[in-house]
Amino acid sequence: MFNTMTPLLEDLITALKVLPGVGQKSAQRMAFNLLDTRRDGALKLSKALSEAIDGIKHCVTCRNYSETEQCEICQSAKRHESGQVCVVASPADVVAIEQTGHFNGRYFVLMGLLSPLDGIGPNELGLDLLSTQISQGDIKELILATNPTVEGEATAHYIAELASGHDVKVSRIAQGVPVGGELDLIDGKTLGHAFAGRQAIE
Amino acid sequence: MPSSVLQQAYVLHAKPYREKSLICDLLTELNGRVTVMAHKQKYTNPFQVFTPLQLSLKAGQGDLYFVEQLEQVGESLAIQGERFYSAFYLNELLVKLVKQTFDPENLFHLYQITLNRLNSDEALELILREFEFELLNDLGVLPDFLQTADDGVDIQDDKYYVCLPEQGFVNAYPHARYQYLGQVIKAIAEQNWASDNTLKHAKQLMRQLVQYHLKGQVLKSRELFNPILKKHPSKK
Repeated sequence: MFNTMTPLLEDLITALKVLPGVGQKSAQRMAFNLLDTRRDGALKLSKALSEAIDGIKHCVTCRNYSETEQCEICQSAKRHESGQVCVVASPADVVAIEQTGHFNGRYFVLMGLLSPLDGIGPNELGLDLLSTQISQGDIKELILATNPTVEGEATAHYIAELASGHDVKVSRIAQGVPVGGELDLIDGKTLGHAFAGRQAIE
Repeated sequence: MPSSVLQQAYVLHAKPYREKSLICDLLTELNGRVTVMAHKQKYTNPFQVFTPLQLSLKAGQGDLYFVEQLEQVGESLAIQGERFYSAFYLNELLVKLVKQTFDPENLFHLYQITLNRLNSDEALELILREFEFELLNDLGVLPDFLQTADDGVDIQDDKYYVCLPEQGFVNAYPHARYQYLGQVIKAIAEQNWASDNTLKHAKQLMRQLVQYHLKGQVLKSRELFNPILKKHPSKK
């Protein structure tokens, strides 16, 4: 039997398998598709990939992806005025919050949540960096916007402990009924939070 | 072989597989430790750690099972801080030490009871030592607490011994790092924690055994304790 895979093709397939959810079959399909009909697109992809890997690093202040030493948000003086720092788990969360337009402070991106079994401890989340920023005193309020999951709550609590003893207000984002939601379809825990965090109508 | 009966289970660890699915390490009441593929719900993910689930499993590929039916999701453990990190420690021990269970029900109940104890006012050290003790016992790797391994003599109250993880207690030799007094060994075996000294040595012994059986794997959850303990030494 001849080996129908040339070494280059095999390398390409192995390389494609680094993508999440892509196994041997899918990688093979992608490789054939790129070679077959989309050679231009493939070149663009390879260029974009190598440029992104070289050009994108982490902002020294907030750890979000940035092409410069400090990201745009951290450079902006306006974002520093409020003294608010929103702590989120991933860059995707920053995008989501930015889209709402409700927040005008800066961020701190953990790039994950505490999860000992995945080998993620406080240091992997850059909490030493956050701790230094807290003790420098230019943060007035920390808004903990990690997911309301077990890991998210644990991380939020850990950060709250870090900040205790410093002159920083620590808040947690509210939980409750989603817009357009129906009460009878919402799970009991969320409804409980919605009641506990109810607000007076002024 | 999992059967499609409803049983209780806890997620020990979950990692994303695709956008909407997860690979979870479960500790189940009837099948012990199993790996399953589970699907998230529309807005939420019910497969959270420290949350009692009631579900049934069906066979998948090889060692990977599927969740056939998720019947009920209980209340997540509502504890924070040190006790919470301890709960992570339990999970880490179970995932890294337990590959196969001979008595799944026993192990499951040990875990469930320990989680509930973490939620009470009981002393943390005590809960953790008893969990480690029972877990190692369940794995069949506890040493003989009555006789020495080298000469098979009863352990004496006033003599010092050294624990060799593969063999058991042997008579202490000079310069041995961890030595245990016979009386302390007996107290540990009876889980009699009246003296702080017993608890201290039990921690040492359990750590020594756990470390050995981890075979080089590092326990990450211990890191969680350090900075906080340093900041609030009174909490210890």
